[in-house]
Amino acid sequence: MDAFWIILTGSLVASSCGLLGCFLLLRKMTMVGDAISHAVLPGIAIAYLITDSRASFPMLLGAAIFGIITTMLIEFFSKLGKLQEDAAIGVSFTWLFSIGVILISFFAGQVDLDQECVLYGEIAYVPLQTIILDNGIDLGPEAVWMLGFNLLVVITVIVTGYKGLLVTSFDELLAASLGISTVFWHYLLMSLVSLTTVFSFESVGAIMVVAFLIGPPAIAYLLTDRLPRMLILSVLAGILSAIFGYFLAVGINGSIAGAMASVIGLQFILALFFGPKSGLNILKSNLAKNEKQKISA
Amino acid sequence: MIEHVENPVLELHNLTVTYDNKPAVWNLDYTLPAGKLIGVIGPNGSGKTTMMKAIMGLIKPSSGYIKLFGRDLADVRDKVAYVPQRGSVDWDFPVNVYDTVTMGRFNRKNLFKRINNKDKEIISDAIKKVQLEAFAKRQISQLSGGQQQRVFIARALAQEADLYLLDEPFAGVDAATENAIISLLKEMKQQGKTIVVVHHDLQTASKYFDWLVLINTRLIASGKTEEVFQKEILEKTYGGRLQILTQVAELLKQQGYPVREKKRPKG
Repeated sequence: MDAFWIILTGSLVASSCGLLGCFLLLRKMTMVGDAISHAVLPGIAIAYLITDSRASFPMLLGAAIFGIITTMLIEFFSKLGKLQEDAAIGVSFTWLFSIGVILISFFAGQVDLDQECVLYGEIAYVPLQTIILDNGIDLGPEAVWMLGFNLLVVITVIVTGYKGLLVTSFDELLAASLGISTVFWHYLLMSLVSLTTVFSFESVGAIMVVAFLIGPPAIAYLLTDRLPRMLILSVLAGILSAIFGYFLAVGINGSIAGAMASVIGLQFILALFFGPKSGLNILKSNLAKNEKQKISA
Repeated sequence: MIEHVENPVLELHNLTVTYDNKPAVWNLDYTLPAGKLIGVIGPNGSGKTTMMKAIMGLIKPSSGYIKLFGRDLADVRDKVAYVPQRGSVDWDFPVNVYDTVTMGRFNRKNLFKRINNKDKEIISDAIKKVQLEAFAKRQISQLSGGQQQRVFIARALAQEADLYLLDEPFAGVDAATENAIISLLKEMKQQGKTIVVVHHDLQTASKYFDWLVLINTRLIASGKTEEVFQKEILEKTYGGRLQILTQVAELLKQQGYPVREKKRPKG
C-alpha cells in the first residue's frame, strides 16, 4: 500500500507540474518556474513562524505572495535595470531563497522546518502522515489529498482558461490587440506555479518540482506538435517517471525523488533521439534527401 | 504636405512616443480616409512599427492621442485587426494553421466560451481566402515564409474588422505570395475596408497604395499617392541616404513603367 501512495503522490505532483510546465516552456519561462519554486521559501518560513503549522492557508498565501514578488522582481531587474533576463532570474531567486534560509536558521529553535526538507522533501514519509477521521476511518495520506486538490485547481484553470493561456502564450501582441490582458494570464500562471510548489515541497521538495515542471513538458514538446496532445503527453511522461522511478529506487535502494528525476532524464534522451521531430529521424531524412540528390545529380 | 480628411477612420493628434527619453515618433498628426489601401513608408528605424503599436494601444504614447472611427480604441476594438511582424512569434509553437486562425475569433467576451459554428465558418472562410485549405492541419513551422504571412492575414480576416493594420506583410515573402496578398488586400478595399500597411519597398509603393504616409520619426507627408510620391518628399523622408536617393531618381525616371525587382531581405 505504501508503494501505491508514494507513486500516487509522485503522479499528482507530476501531473500539476507537467500541465503548468507546458505553458512555461512555450512562454520560454521554464527558469522562472525554477526561480519561483525556490523563492517561495521566505513566504513559507514567515507563514510558519506566524501560524506554527505547515500547509495551512497562511502558508499558501505567504508562498503565493513571494511567487508574485519573484516574478515582479525579475521584471523589475530586467526592464528597469536593463539586465539580461536570465541574470535577473538568477539574482532574484537566490536572493529570496537566501532570505528564507536566514529566517529558518535564525528561528531554528522555533521552526520545525529546514532548507534541506524544502529542497529535497521526503516522499517516502508520505504514507506515514494520514488523515484519520474521528470514527477511525483512515482516509489515506494528507499529502495525497492536498496534492489532489491542487491538481483539481490546476486542471480547472487550464480547461476553463485554455483560450486565454493559448493566445497570450503564442502571440502577446495579438492578445493585447484583442483586449485580452496579458498581465492577468501571466500572473495567473505564476500563482499556480507558486501554489503547486507549496503543496508539493513537503512531500517531494523544490528540486523535484523543478524536474517535473521542465522535464515532462520538454519530452512532450519533442513528441507532438499540437498543444492539447502536448499537455496529455506531458502528464503521461510525468506519471511514468513516478512509477518507474519508484521501482528503480526500490531496486537500487536509493532516493525515490532522485530516481524519479533520473527517469525523466532518461525519457528525455529517448524522445530526443527517437522522437518524430528530432535527432535520428531528422538525421535519417536528411541522409535520405542527400541520397536522392546524389541520384538525381 | 499633409492632407486632412473629413470623418477619418484613423486620426493621430500630436502623437509622440519615446523610448528612454528618445523619441521614436515625434508629433505625428494626420487623418486617414475610409476605404483606401494606405502605405506607411519610411526608412529603417523611422518609427513605423512603434506608430502601429501605439495605434493598437500596445505602447503608451508620451503625448497626443489616437482616435479610431472618431472614438477610443477600447470602444471599437472589434472593428480593428492588427497583424504584427511575422518575426514577433515563435513559429515552432505547437499549433496548426487552423488553430492559429482560430485565435482571430477570440475576444474578451468569449474567452471562456467554446468556439461556435458561426466562428468555425468564418475561420474556414478566412483560410480559403488566403488559399491555405490544403495546409489547414499543418504545424505552422512547416510552412514557407509566404504561407506563414498568409496565416497571419487569415487570422486578421477572421476578426471581421473594418480597419486592418499590417506591419511589414511583404517582408521575406516570395513574389507570388506578395501578388496574392496585394490582390486580396485590394479585394478587401472593394468591400469598403480600410487597410494600412507598413511597407519598406519604394519600388512597389506607388503601385500598391492609394494613399501614402511618409514618416521619418516626424511626419513628412500624408496624402494621395500621386500627390505625395515626389522627389523632394522622398528625399526628405530618406534623408541623406545616397543609395536610396539614386534609387529614387531611377524610380522617378521610370515612372509609368512597372518595376519588378527581387525582394530585398527584411532589414
